[in-house]
Amino acid sequence: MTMSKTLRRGGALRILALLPILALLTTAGANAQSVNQNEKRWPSIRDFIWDHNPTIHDGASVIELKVPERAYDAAVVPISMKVLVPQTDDLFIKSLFLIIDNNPSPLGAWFRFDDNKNVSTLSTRVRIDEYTYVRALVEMTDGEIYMTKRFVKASGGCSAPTAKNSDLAMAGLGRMKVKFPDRMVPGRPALAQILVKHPNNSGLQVDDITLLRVPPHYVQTMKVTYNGATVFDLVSDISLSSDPSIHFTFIPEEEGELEANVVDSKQMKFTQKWAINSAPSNEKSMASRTLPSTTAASDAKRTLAAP
Amino acid sequence: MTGMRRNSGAFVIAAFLAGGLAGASPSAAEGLAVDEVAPGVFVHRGVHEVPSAANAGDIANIGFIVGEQAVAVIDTGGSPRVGAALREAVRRVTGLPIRYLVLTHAHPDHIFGWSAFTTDSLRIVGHAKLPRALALRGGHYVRNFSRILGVAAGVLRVPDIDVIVSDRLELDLGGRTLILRSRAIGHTDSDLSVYDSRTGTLWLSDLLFRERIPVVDGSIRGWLTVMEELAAIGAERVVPGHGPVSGDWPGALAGQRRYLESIAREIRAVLKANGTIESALATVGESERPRWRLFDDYNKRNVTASFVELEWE
Repeated sequence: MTMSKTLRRGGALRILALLPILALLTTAGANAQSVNQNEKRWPSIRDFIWDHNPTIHDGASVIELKVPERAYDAAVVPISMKVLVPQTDDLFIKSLFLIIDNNPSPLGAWFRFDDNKNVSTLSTRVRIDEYTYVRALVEMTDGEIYMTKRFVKASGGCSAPTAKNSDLAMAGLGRMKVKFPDRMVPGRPALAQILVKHPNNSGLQVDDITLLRVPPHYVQTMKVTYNGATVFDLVSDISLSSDPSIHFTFIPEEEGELEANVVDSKQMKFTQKWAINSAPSNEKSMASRTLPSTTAASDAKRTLAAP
Repeated sequence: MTGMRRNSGAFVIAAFLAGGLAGASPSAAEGLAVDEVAPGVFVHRGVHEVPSAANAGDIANIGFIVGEQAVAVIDTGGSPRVGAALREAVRRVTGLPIRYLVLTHAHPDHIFGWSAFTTDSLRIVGHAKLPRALALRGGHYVRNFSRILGVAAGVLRVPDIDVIVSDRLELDLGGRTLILRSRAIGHTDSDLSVYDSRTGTLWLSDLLFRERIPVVDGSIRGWLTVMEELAAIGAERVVPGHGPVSGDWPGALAGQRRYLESIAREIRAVLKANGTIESALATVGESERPRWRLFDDYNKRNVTASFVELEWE
């Protein structure tokens, strides 16, 4: 089973099964010349995603990719992507890949959009272990692929790509927080953010002396809908920072419900819904209310105050 | 006065590094400079630089305390070469056995000299959470610091911790007791403080930065809380992890407190306005820029780390 066939069949679960293999295939040699701006891992990553060696066009006019020049904090590197082309009913973005070449698992995020033709801005935060290229690849509904890449330098000496507070990382597991602008106009794109309390750790091998073992525990999928329609459907991995954060655009209506469904690597499921209303008659009426969770998942039910 | 001492120290370090590069071990005359800041308390000042091949990771304050029967080394520098020079500095002062090696936290500029002490019959002492911190981060530190220092694979190794401090531990050096306290999450999640009761010296290591910009690698809120606990300790002098020893306690804490409080306040203002990390990075901490060495090397890192902590408030 190749990843491209899997993609065509939309089998997210199969992709998940392949991710560790991808990580294994591409780990070797990551360190040797990592200071150089080498791209030697990229061909194998590309072949894993598309086995037919497709033409990849320069994406400079299609997708903007903003990364800091240096990973100031190896555990939290903000990455922002912005779509630069108009989308129509006939031609729109099918999916977007965020790739971090030299990370242990290079597939940082794979967003799919179903019928959402209004994808505009997507931002997240990732771990960056080594000097590396970061790539944003857009796959259009006509099958054409566009890529933009940026080089990121590794962090300074004492920065590590791990959670800073290992004890707190598990507290409130699955709790979510949504943020959106104070004022929204129905029908106009608005930028929102969903945060998920999750350690998103990569696991740790048993150490002979300390006998420490931290099993991997990370967010695998996150599906966000607004009034039942897909905003994005994310497949992710250990490259996302602890407490994964996604900024995204959606088109608010006068009344609406945002819903997030998260599944992690232990098959724990977290669901949260927020009523998000933008009544034009009252500028200050922008209100969010956390609705009762449909899934009885630990702390996901905890109510969050509106921003 | 302080300036003169620092200058002569810099000369000595340069000589030691030159000797090291030439393959010769530093002689007594060219060895690591240490100041006896109180009777039996010796401190070597690291330089205010980012770690590099040129400074061999000698960027943190390290040192040792001499009792009547034994010596405790406190932190070891960022490479075995610095560690070896520290060990020679001990030997210039005393022939007593080095019985304890205290690692104040997991950062590479404090730990990687440890392997110069493997011939000593000593116990390595650290915070109860230090083994976990080293297990989670040690491999990354080895790779990253090896690249930065330009040393071969196998030179930098992660220490095993023999004795852990869960709350309080006393080390008896003979006629001199060191009181080690494990602190709650602050600069990192495995910070130890060391108090020498004979001289009233409080060795805070990276719980206190002076001159060099503090690094938030644990919790900004936690650190501000820990600082209040530390401020309540009566001490004749404090040894920071970076910057000069001070006899003004808790006055020496003021700069670090001002910096941390101001970036926390400015980040909260950005969060309140629905700003992003990127918008915070553009502005937060700028008023502090003239007050700190290496501001550009660490401020953005601190803002990033603090932002993702404070956005859950």
